[in-house]
Amino acid sequence: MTESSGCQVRELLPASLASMDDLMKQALCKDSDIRPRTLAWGFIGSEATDALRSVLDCDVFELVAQGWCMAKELHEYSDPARHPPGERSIVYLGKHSFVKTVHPVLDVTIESIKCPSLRFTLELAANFCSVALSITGGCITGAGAGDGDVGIQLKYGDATLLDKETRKVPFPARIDFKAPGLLISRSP
Amino acid sequence: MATLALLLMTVHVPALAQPAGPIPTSPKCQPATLVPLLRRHGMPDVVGCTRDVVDRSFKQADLGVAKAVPQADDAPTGVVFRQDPPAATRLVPGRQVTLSISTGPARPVPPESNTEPTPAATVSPIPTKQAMAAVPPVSGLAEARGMEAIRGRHLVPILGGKEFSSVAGGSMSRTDPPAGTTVPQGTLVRYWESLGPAPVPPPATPRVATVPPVTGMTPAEALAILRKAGLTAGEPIPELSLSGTGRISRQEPLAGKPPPPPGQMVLLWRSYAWFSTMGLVVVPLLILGAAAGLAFTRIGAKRRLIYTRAVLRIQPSLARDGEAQFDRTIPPAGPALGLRASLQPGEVHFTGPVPIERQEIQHD
Repeated sequence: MTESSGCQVRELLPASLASMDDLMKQALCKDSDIRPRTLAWGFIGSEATDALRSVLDCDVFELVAQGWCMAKELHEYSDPARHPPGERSIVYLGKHSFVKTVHPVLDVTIESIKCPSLRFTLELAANFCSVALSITGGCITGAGAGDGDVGIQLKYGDATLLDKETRKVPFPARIDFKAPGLLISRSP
Repeated sequence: MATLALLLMTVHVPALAQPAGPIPTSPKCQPATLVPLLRRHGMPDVVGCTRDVVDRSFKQADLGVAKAVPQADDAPTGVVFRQDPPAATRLVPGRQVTLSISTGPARPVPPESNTEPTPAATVSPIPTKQAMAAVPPVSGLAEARGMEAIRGRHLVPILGGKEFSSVAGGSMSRTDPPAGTTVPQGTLVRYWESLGPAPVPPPATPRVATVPPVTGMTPAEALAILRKAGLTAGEPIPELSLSGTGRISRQEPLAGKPPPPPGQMVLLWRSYAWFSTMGLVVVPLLILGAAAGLAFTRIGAKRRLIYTRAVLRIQPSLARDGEAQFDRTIPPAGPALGLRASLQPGEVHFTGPVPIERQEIQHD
């Protein structure tokens, strides 16, 4: 887990999403038991946006670091033979980019009717000029001395709720992940 | 004057044989005497006058040409011996002026004479040895008998038409030339069949002094009463009324008032008959429908408000279970809307290699 990064994913989302009301209405009214005229869709859309923002109260760099864990260039650091326990590596990465995807899922119940789950897609597009990773025992324990920006896009199926918006994320001097850190995936 | 001239007969006048010698003219036959009288539409006495003088006088008076009927007579040839209308009669438009012009004394007719009939209107110079016959009086005779009488004079009967007259219907009323006129044998004699006396127009219904009351009656009854009173009324004007019965609801002029002048009608109004039956059903239904629509709208708004309030009562309860989960549900006491959010991991897609510029290794 991140510590003291100071930037959460929810902060990259706007307070309200204009098309969320219509999206909820169209998605939920596929169920014939739901009568659209009886519901306050504005309020439901607002609540759904809040629920999405709430579930995304995680650090931006926590998600980004999960991307680094998947980089095949770092797989060797998960090999104890090449990097035995007790060894601490500082790896300096050059300019690179990747997209980290997560899926917020909303389960909506109206009265006793359970609606189909709404699976959103949140894409974090990370562009780094440089970053230094601290790796110990096959886990990324910290990051620092970085420079880059992060773009965010929210979609539901083919509908785009939030178009790609790139923001310069202030990179802290150093981030320490909680022990034992983020596990680097092993080579297949 | 010109109108009178047009209305007067302009029958083609056959050229008559002119008198052989000069005929002494009396002062009454001078154009200076005839023309002023004709211009005043008075019929002068032209018996004894020569035909050319009379014709010239008629022309000078702008009265056209009088009808000339050549007949055998003891008067000198070319002299008028009979006139119709008689002298001192006022000439009215349409009145035929007929002058009988003498063709000289009648000559004895051989019994076997069988000359071809000649149309009266196209008589040319009269043959010098023409057999003559007088038109028989046939007024009042049956058609068959009348025709037989005409043919018995060696004349040709032809139907001139039908007309109302004082004689009985179906019988002959008159002839042209008139009965007693001497014409050449074989002349066409037109006769008219009588239709009987002309029908007498019904006596006018006496108009009442005041308009009778007709309100409350059916339109048919009202119209019959007004007709009997010598008044006319149009179709009743329909008007909307809550107590519509289809009967006359009002009238103008009011009952007891003087009747409208001739040519004007009594106006009647009739209340809608359908409104009393249909209106009593339809109007309440419309009101009920509108009220129900309003109620449903209000109920819908209330329900939405209830939903909103129920959702607003929710206290967000965050429950995280290691998978970054957010849980917000409505308590069972009054659930209306439940939202449960969770975050599922996704994939990572690198757009290029991740270059490792350098690394530092530290050992404990």
